[in-house]
Amino acid sequence: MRIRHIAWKELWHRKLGALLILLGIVLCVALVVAIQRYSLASINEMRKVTLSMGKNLVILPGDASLDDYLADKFRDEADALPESDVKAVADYCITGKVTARHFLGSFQKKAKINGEPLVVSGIMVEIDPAAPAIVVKDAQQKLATDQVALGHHAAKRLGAEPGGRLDVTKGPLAGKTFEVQEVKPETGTVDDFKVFVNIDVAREAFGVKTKVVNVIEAVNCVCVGTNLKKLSKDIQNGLFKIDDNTYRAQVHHVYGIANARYQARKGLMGDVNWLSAAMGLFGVLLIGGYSVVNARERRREMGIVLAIALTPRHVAWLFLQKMLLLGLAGGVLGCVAGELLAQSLGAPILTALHPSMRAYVLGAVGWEVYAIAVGAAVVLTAIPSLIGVLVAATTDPADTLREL
Amino acid sequence: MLDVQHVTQTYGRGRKAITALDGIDLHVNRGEFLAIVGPSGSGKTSLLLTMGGLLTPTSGRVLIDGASFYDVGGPARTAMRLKYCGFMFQTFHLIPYLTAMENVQLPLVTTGMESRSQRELAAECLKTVGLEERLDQPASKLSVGEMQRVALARALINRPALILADEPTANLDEETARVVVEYLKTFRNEGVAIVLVTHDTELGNSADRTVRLRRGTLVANGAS
Repeated sequence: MRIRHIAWKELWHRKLGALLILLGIVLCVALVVAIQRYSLASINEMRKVTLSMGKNLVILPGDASLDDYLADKFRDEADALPESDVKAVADYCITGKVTARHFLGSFQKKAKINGEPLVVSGIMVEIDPAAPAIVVKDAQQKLATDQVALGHHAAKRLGAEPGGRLDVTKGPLAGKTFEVQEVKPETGTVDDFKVFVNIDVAREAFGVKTKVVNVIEAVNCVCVGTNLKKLSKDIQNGLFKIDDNTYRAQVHHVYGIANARYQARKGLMGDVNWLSAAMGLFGVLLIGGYSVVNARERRREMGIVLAIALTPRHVAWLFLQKMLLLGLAGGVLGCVAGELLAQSLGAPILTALHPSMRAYVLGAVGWEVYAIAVGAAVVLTAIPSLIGVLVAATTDPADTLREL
Repeated sequence: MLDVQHVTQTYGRGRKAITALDGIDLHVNRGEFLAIVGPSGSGKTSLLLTMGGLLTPTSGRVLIDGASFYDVGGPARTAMRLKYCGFMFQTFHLIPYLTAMENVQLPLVTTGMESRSQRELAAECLKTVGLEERLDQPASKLSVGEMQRVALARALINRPALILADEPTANLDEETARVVVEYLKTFRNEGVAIVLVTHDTELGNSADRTVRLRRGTLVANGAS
């Protein structure tokens, strides 16, 4: 017989007490895991929204301002940037200064298409900064000269549907017929009003003879939390500086949006951490109380084993082992319960607490969260139970035996 | 083999101090059955616990095979206790959720002995006290007589040189009490020293020697 056998038998003997403390641990761990998973899902959601904005880093030619860009005031051929700058930016960013996924060069102009005020956006293929020599094989961005992709509202205004045809009768693209390759989901940005075509088609439509772009966007830029201001300056000085006061291009960042998202995430994480800490404290108090009560309840038993068999060190190990076992079991079961909770109740909670958040994407199984939760459950069970361990190990067998 | 030298045991301090043992001198030989008889509150249990290395005396020494119980630290004292002493108590002090076999195995838990050997030895001890049919019975399901025999087997398992028994028959009927005493005598015959404390003079008379304790002092010391 080993000490763990005694610990195990005692657990079975006092099933109700053990079960209650196990439930307490499971509850704490489950709530912490669910909260953490929910919080990660919220971050995923924010990232998704940020991504859906399309970009938060924009490079415009000459002294063009971000206001111009947002008002669809694009520079003409004379002020545009050579197409080679797109690859140059991607090459520059391979040093790891930018977390943009891809860079997209485009030539854009406001125009009336079939009488509807829209923006024609001729797009290059995206360039992946991680491998700038390789263009991204994204079907959306590989528009053939007879293909078009439409923003949400542009498609509505033009009465076009995915897979259908778009006959352009008026405007710079007049006389052309396009296959509608895609209608993009609504983003709430100017992209909803864009007619995306091959860049050569756009340049030809606006009479541009040279290979130029008037916007370079960091597509799917996820620079949330990084210093976008500094990043913009780095790129501008590194690539577009002519002299101290003159630049070939302006690098702008949509800082406000990214920052608002970042602040929201920070606030959310703060709430989540407080809740987790409160749950942890509750668990610690629960376990500490239980271990002391259990040690007092077993005072007689401890007196006997100390008299006839065990040293105080063994008694301490006997108690600690039991608590570690409960912590481990509670941690594992709590992770399962927490995951189920996050799966079933996460979405309603998210939308109730953060109405601005639109999607609840739980993401992959949170092994890291589980590992931390189980580890914390074991440690946070062991630490408060030391009080009970101490009470048990310092039991005076003579006192106990004289009382009996 | 056991020497109690000028042992005094005082509980509390100042005016509230109570002297439970007052200058006790006692020697127990190997294979001797000694009964310590006295009324309740005479200090019997205190003396027994002091002899067993469980209660540090206020003054005096307790030597077992020449080694002083209280001149060594806690772990060493526990080791000495496990090596030399087996205990029996009036209320048996079995662990209720362990089986008879597991209760008997308890003193072996920290010896490093393999579980299988522990079980074999425990079964042998239980057989000695006639409980070979009750090995896997939880202690809480045993009769009081069986409980005391399990306690006896537990006291024997580490093959102690000394068994210290505190009112071992007080909760037993006459017949069962007689059986337990017979077992004790058998172990005495095998060379184990038995120290039995009791308030029952008749039971005390079944020992080789009886000493009487009154208010912490030995008042008589002689053969039964």
